[in-house]
Amino acid sequence: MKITVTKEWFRSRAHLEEGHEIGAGSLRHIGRPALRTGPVQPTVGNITFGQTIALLRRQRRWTIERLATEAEATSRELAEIEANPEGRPERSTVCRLAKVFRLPSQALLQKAGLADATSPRLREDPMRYADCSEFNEPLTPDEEDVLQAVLKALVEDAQA
Amino acid sequence: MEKSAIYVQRSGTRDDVDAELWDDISDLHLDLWRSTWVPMMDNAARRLRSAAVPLHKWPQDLHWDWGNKTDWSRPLLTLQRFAITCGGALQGLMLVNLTKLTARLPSQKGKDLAYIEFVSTAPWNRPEISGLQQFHGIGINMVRAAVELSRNEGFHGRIGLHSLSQAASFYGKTCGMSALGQDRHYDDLDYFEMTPAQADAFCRPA
Repeated sequence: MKITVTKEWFRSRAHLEEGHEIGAGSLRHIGRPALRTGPVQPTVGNITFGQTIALLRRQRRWTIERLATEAEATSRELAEIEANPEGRPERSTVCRLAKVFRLPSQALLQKAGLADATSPRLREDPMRYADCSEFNEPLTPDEEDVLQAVLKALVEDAQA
Repeated sequence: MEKSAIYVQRSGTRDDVDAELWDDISDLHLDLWRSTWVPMMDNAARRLRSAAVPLHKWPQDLHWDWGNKTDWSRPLLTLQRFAITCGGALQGLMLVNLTKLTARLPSQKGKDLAYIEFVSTAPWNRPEISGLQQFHGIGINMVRAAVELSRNEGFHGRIGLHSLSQAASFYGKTCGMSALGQDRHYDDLDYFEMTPAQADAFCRPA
């Protein structure tokens, strides 16, 4: 994409920016270092909402399109939820995903960062794990263990 | 990847300087981010931490990992990345999402818009981080790029974003966007939108 900017336009506006901050975007994870060293392995503590959804989907051997149908969402929205650790999904989508996976919606909203967490395990570092989970392969035993532990925490948090 | 000729302005003298707007974030841009931005951002974070400045007063982008943002957004066609360079240095980065939100202003409700998910300028352009301001004009170029992307997509220049309160006057007054107040679903950040008419006005010389 190419844009054409005239010097006249720029000159008439640029000085208005002097001394201004221009930052826009999420405050999530503020205070953490920008670069982490070494790969982060998914554990109950650091698994993100998107990874949880990807594991649940793959556990059922569903494609993103199948999950989109079940959750009345778009494939694009779900692909972004799974891929973007800093994303902020729609509450309504999270609630429909909770219904599809038969999980307590409040706990899943917490996992998605859309409600205050009460469980220490859900409150733990939800940092990113740059995994590409678009594939539909069965879960490995390690992934299955992580998923079961996350589900246990979600259910226990809802009962607390 | 295409580049457009733009300008940035040297702070103090207000000289216009030739610059480039890129319609993607390349590996070279990421190398520049890692080698030049991150050390200054980390220093700022250390300073803020040792001064016990509360987190909500920190610049929100000190911790942003642009490598990660670029990696996850590359396969998704609905996400468009931009970079600005000047004199071989990386001056700004932006990520725009074409499907995340629809317009909230009553006159535009439900219509598509280009949502500026993240925008950040180099630490040497920000006194609050480095004590320096080499260039300004990065912000208006990024907003202009988002408007042009919106037009290309048939969204008529509609854009939206969540701004820190410190940047609210830039988006409200300088860019002429409509303030819709704090968004309690988004860290209480101020939400702004630009209508097609406001986009037309913004793209005309002031």
